[in-house]
Amino acid sequence: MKKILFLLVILLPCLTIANDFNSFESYDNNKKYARGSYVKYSNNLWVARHKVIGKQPKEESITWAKVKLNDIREWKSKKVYLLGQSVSYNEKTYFAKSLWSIAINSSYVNNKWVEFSHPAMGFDLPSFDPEHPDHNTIEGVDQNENGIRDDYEIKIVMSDKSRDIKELALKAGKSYQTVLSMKGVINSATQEEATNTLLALTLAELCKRQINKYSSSAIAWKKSDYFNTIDRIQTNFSVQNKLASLVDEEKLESSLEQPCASL
Amino acid sequence: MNEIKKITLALLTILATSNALAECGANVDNIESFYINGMFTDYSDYTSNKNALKNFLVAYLESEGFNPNIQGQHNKDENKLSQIFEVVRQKWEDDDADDEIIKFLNNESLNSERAKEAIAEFLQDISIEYQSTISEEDSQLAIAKLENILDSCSRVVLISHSQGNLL
Repeated sequence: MKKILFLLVILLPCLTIANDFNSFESYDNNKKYARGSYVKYSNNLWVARHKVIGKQPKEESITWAKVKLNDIREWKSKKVYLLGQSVSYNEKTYFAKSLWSIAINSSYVNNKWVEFSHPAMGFDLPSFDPEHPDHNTIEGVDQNENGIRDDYEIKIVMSDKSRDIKELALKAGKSYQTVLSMKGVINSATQEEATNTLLALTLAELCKRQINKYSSSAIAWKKSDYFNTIDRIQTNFSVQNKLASLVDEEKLESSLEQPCASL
Repeated sequence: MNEIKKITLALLTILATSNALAECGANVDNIESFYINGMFTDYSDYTSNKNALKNFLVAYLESEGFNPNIQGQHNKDENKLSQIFEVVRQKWEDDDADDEIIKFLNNESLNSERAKEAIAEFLQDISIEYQSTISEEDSQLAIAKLENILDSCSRVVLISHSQGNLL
């Protein structure tokens, strides 16, 4: 019996459990969190930098460190890792929950590192502020300034779609956003701009149809997730109609081969 | 001198007519296709539909004499659309339309019973505008393009969807 207990004490620290994002505990505003506690909140994971109660995690907070999801590098033994920093090791991903210098391949890995997976891994997931005054405008909010409206971007990267489909959906999102952003300047659009914009939109549509037709399980994105209000739908129609009067139809129709690769 | 001019003119006329007849003769077995979209089809959807029809023609009908380079006219119908959006905006003053209506306006497929009910109710609201013919401008452009094909003596298959039938 003693031997078994001894083995358990030795071996337990070596076992890490890969936590899917959804399995993490949600933030509770009434709960007291110790330094190194971690929660999910607003599509992200956060690590408490010190004891905290009643302070919601947010960007650039001194209380909470946001776990990094993109630009994740391989773990290095001599590097110091701060709370919330992420590394990859043996094809797994970990974030640091303490400042202790504990090697990721040691028996005490669990005292420093938390293995995790996240649907937005590798993507620049924007933070979503539901109170932002521009959410209901035609163009909406693009906090990370990548040319894609945040609510659509979050919906896509947080979905269970494959990485390839997510990337294509984001490219399609850029072409949708281009249409909405042209509303005020449509009268000065050139033939080249009109042709390029309509080409990107048509490639997105053809690519979406191709995914839905030829993939047995995958489902592509929905245009209605981008043009999701009456105003945005009407803007899409009116801008595309104007662009259609300028388009080089021959050039457009001769560039539609391999839509997903060309998107 | 005048006689020489008359003979030259007559020769040119005969030449031109025989060329036109020769072209007409060469085209008489051609089958051209012409596509007109229905309502709520933006230009990228129209081009995508045309592309899908082209692929179909290449796969199944090119060997039967169909020209795979399908022609068409985008029915943009701006006036009717703006009237419909006005009705829609009055119905949902806060712009918070039913998800099924948002999908319908984006030309996306609807399968559930819930969707059918929502769309049926919506179509009742916009029935007057929805059942109207396509705009005069779009009709004139489509007719001009069709006449152009018919003048070449080709036969034409008109492929129209929904409101596109009401040319």
